[in-house]
Amino acid sequence: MAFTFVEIEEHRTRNVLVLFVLLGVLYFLSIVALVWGSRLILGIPLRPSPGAYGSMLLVALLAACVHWLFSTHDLIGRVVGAVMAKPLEPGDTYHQRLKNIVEEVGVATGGRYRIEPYIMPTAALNACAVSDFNNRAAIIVTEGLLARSSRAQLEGVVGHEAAHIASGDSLARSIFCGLFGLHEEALKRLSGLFKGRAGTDMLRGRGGALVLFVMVVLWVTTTAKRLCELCLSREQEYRADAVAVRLTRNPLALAEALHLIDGHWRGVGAQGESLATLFIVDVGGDRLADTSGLVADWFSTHPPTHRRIEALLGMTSVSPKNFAELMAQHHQRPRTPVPEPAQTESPARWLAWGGEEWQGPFDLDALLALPSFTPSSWVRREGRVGAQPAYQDPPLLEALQRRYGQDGPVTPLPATACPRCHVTLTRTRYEGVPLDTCPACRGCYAMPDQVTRVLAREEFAFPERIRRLAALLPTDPRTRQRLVKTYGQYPWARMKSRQCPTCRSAVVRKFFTNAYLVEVEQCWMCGLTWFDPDELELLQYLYEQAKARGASAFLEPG
Amino acid sequence: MGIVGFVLLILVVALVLWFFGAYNGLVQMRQQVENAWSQIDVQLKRRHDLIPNLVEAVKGYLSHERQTLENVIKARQQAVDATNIKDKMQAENFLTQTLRSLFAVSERYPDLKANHNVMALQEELTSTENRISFARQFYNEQTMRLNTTVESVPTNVVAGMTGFNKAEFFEVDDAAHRQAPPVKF
Repeated sequence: MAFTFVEIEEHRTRNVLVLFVLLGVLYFLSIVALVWGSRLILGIPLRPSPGAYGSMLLVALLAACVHWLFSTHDLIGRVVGAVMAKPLEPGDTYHQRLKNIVEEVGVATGGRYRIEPYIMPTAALNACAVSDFNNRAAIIVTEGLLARSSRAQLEGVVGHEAAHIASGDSLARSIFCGLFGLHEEALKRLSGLFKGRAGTDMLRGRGGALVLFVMVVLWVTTTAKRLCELCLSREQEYRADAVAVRLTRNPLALAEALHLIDGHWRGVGAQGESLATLFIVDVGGDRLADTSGLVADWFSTHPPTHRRIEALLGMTSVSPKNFAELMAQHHQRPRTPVPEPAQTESPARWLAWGGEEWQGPFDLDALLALPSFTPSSWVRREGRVGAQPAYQDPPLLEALQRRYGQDGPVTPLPATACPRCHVTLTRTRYEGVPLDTCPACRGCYAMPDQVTRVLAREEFAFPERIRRLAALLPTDPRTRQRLVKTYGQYPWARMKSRQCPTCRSAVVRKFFTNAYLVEVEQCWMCGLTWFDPDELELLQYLYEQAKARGASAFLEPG
Repeated sequence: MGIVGFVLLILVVALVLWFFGAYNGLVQMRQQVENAWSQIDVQLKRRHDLIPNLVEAVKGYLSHERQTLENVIKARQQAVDATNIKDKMQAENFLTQTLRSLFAVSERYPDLKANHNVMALQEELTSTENRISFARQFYNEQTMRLNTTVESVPTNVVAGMTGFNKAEFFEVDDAAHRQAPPVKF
């Protein structure tokens, strides 16, 4: 068995041609069946001749070529689109780690493959690889797996996927999915339209040919999928595990990663089942995957995960009992407290720009009493170098707001200003996600996919005030229902006067999701959300509480 | 020309073709070994560039660990100055050990973990260590292929006639790195 990437490259299997032959044979059989069937129905005698079969073979080959070209065009892009994967966000620490690991594995393969990392914005735990004929490949990891696994565990998973890419398994499986898996779901939905009376009417009318065509393609697709699944060996998964171990020299980390994935939700959306062969652990739709025996060996693409873990543990000095204890510790690992924002000094005095020179220093009352002082006046704190407009200094802004009240002058906001304090936002990281945060009030802007990432990650512990806030929320279902009905049903009735800083569309005040009653201000079009201080942490806390209770309502914003 | 002459001619042509094939194979393998070595060089350069930034970022926190920091700087300089492969291997292995001791020491300073820049640099350095390790694995695999061909019969004849020598493995001094888990499936 080949264990290194050089050995794998030498023994690389090229069984892609088999897929084309299978496709051609299936089209030929279905065309023969169609011709014979229609002749029988119409009462035309059957006169099989070599010429007729030759024509049918040509048509079948043509259909197979069209199917092949259509299905293998932009394979990576189509699979990435089907699982709604996204490119990594620069600046996100978790994404940077994945990027690094994928590049490391690229080095191990000698730079033969251009492997691109992608992320699936879901809390589920799984990973897959897809590749095409041009030595391009993509490794797709779910946000949940990225958040919950350590670096060593992620290295094991990426190493496993890279082994599939190098051995050619990934190419065969990607083509297999491109030919059959990606169309299966759409064809099933289309064939559903032909059921019942409408379908019968269509069969009698002009749409009969279309119905028959769709049925033939569906039959070819599903039959070929079943046949190909028979050919996919469970050995491939064991071999990829072995290559990952050889690469990372850490069988325990890969065993831990498999245990993590197996113990969590692994579903990856509507297309997940039809692309199941691409994933490291079965997405959950195949009952045979967890069983052993001849039938399971033949019809399931993934071996039982516990067998894979046993095989990996066999390479370590850790017994299964100790492994269970280790994993229990992993689940209960302590979370770091949220770093408190650096306390800004409260300056007693400011200098004000008088047009030609700095005046002062003044204390707050004296500064506000200056006749020339406006929110746009340039000020600087005593003992500091940087100057700024008065509205950007939080204590001054607060005093100005008190002075002008609701009828005060409206200062035009820069695009990256806090909608509450008018202070320029700064880039901070929470749970590794870069967020535009107000340095004064700690509120922040977040896009829906950034919220998903924050919810999936469990790096920081919640302070006591978040628990107290959560306890204040209504738990009675009737009250919650009434609140949702009152405030959640017509959010456009609660439109704010300000515009979204990104797309200039309207901003509405609404519950981020009706499952957790956290009220936010969200852009109607792009979904950019303003979270007041503690609101994002509160949402994350409520989400984790719901998950701990086993609630099935997974939050998938956007 | 009789049939014997014809057969002899075919044999000679086949032998010449095989000789060319074997020679081209050896050239290809030597190129792959050189390419693999250049990959290691790229990653080592990356590590040398990262270390001064890391030392600059952590020295404010590790004022009591001056000796450790000085060792890292010294080891880096030795690695940069090394000219031949053997010296380079020794210097790089020493640098790896000093970096490992720096990481071990930094575990004792929780303030370091709260610094995003230090953590980002540490992630980059960890990644570079892995890249070096993987590049070394790849280089050694290519070297093994070349050495096996150079020593095997009959390609050893071609190698001997055309001046192909065995390439040097990139070996690791550290016992912990040597210990690979037995892969059984």
